[in-house]
Amino acid sequence: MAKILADNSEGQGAAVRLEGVKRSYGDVIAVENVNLDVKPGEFVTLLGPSGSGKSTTLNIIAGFEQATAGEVFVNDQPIGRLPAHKRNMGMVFQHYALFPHMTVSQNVAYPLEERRMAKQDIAEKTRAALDLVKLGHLGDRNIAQLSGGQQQRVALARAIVFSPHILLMDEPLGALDKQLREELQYELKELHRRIGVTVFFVTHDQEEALALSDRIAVFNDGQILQIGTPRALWEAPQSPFVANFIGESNLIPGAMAQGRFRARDQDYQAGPNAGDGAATLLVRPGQLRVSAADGAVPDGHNRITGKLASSAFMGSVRRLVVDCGANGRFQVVEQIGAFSDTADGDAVILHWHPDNSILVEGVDDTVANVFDAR
Amino acid sequence: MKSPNMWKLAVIPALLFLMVVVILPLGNTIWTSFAKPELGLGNYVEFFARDAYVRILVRTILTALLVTVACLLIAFPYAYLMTLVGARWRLVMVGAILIPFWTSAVVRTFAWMVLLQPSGLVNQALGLFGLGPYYLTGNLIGVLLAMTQVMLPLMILPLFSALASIDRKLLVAANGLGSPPLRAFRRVILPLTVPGIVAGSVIVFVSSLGFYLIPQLLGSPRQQLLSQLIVDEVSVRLNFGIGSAMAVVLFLATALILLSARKFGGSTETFGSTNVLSPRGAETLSGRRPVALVIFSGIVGMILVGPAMVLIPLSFTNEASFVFPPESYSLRWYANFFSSRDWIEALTNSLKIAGLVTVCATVLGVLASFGIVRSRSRFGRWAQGIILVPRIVPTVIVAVAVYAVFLVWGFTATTTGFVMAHTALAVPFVVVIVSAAVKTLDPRLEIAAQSLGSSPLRGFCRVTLPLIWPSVASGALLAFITSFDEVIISLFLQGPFLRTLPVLMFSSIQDRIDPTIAVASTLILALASILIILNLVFRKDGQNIS
Repeated sequence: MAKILADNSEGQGAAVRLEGVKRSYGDVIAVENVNLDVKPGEFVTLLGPSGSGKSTTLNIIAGFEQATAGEVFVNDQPIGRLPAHKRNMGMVFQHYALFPHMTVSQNVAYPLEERRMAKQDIAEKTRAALDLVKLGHLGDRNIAQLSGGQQQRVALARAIVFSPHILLMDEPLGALDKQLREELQYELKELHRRIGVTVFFVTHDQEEALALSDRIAVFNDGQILQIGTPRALWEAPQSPFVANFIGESNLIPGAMAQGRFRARDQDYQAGPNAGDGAATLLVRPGQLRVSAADGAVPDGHNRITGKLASSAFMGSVRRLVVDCGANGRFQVVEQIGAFSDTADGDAVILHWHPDNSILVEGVDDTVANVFDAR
Repeated sequence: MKSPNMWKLAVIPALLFLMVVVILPLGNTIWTSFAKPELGLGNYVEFFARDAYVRILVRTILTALLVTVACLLIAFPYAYLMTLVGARWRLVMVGAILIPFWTSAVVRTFAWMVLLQPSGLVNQALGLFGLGPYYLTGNLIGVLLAMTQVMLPLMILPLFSALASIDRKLLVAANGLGSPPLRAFRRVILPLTVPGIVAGSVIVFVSSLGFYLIPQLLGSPRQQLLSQLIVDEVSVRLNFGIGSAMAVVLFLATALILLSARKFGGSTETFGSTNVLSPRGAETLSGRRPVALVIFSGIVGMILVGPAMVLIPLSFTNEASFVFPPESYSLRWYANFFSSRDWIEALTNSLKIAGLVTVCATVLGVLASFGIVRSRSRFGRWAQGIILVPRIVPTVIVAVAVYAVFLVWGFTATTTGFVMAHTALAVPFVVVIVSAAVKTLDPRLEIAAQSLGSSPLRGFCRVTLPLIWPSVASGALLAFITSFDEVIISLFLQGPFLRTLPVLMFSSIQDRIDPTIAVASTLILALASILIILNLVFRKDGQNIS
């Protein structure tokens, strides 16, 4: 045990495996049946809405909560009985949880002191960690004197200074404004590449998840719905929920029958075929085309008529809402150079190539679809 | 992460302690009032049937009422000026309020005796206008004066808090809508201050009902107040039955007022949200400096601070009397103090008891604070209610109750008895201060410490304790001072071989009065000041961090 959790100065992340992890509070189940196999050095994001069980899972890995059933393995060794302070995992908390009675340096040195390191080593490593997050010049500051972004960096330095094999992050960028968030996302990715630690990253922000992760585990209602690379989740969601949660989408709930997809008396050509039964057709806003009512529509396209309800110019893209009456309301995104010649109130044709839609098995009433008024 | 249920255990020591030392004796007092000398309502019937007793009850209520009105009239302008001045002057004004708060009750009362004596400073001042000399002690005048001074802070703080939270643009708005300044003040500011007025009045009135020391030393035996009567019945005449009945009546009056005030909507704990440190004061409507207000408040400030200060030069007098200012100075009374076995013994006893109380009350109080805040249960709130009882029940009642039980248990005239009783009074202070600090503590910091390699206990020591340390220190200081200054319970518990400093002062004042008492007072003032300054330094360090 001591060996697998020892110092990680050679830059080696640990393999982590969750097997059938469950956590319940009395009758309430927080997470259940969580299985996750993470390779050394992988960046895995636990993505889901609040209350979906992603933070509970992270806390079980960290040891702040005990799994009711199942086990967590690090490099194939079970760690369920190991108390949090012996797990040697770095953690960055939501709102950072920096110690207000210590300076920046004292915060970063804290985990090294707890490991009884020599004074000189502590000073060196603290310095190096602060340099790594570009705060080398602020070591003597009090925490209250730092901006949100700086506090975030201190929290990160404190979590990696003892070279853990595993880094846990709980919505670390949640409290920052958009621009700073994007900047730090980039730095985080860079840092991950340099120190090679295994990362578990919790967020409810799908864009952040897509930008950072090697793989994403999508949580809902205490279960993992799907695990995959960002691209796989985007291109092949296995449930309406994942389809909706990853990227923008228009979801048409309906059913497959005899090779055709049917929703509210309208037939569609679906892409790769599936068996009969309830299904949801997913079309990304960027893959829909809008033409004037008298315009040409390429052969083989699905087409429905509607009215351009509203449009907004956003710079490099134009966002449209097309109201197709009984067939639903669709979000459309046009790229610059391919703007259609349409104006609000125009009668339009909405069309797309069947290959640009994705057929997902099942219908999920809890997920917004084109028939919801929006 | 410790479960909330574990935290409940932390409340239990303090809870058990207060149950045994306060709640059980109070229950016993209620029982005694019905059961001694014989079962029934006899004691109550006797109390209300005797004219002398009823007159004392009425006098007590009238006195409390007068003190409340006087406090309100004096405190309002003072509190209002506090909202007009800048941060520095506001701090001075707060300091003036806190000094009588921190001055030992015996010292304060003794100071008034010196000031109000026929040849005292007040009569000298009146003499300049060709008035007097008047008898200002031995009747209700001195009692009212001294009580008003002590109660002023309790009135000023809630009033200031209410006034400070009022948006002064409302005044401008009312003015713009056609009200002349004074009318705008009456129609806007005054109504919005009502919660503060209610809170202040209730707390002053209730506290005034229970006063013992001031009427005993400054008043007349023929104009007794209820607390004096209770003490006489129990400790002099040993009529536990009727004494207990009187205590119950006093308690019921107190509880009734507190409860009805709560219904009325006035909270007794409105202060706390006030920002005493906001750099600039509000503008007056006319834009002029409120000169009259400044003069008035200056006089109030002198009344608040002045009396105790008189004792310091007096302790260096060469005379055997309290002539002020002294005609010549010497250290003879200091020599007298330090060569007297009685005084030194009393001082040592006080220090020993207060030291023990500080340790006990701080340990019990800090544990209980964590238990109350972290258990987040109904049990926690219920326990808090029990622990705060000694702050709500007038001390005279606690004293009578504790005395009766301690007599049976053989705790009177023992250090153990003193420490137990004083700890019971001190624990609530520690709990109020420390639990406020624990409440603001971010529980994730302890979790963070664990993720960084600290065991739960070590994380608590390295992260949690340093963060609440300033509050623990304040709580400990308050516990020390509570015990060191305590008179009423100590008067009951004292024995010929165990007297505390305030008790000895109290009896010296009553029989052989000489300036040694001024020396004792000065020493007490000095000790309290040192402790408070140390605490302020602590606090300042704490604030720099957070």
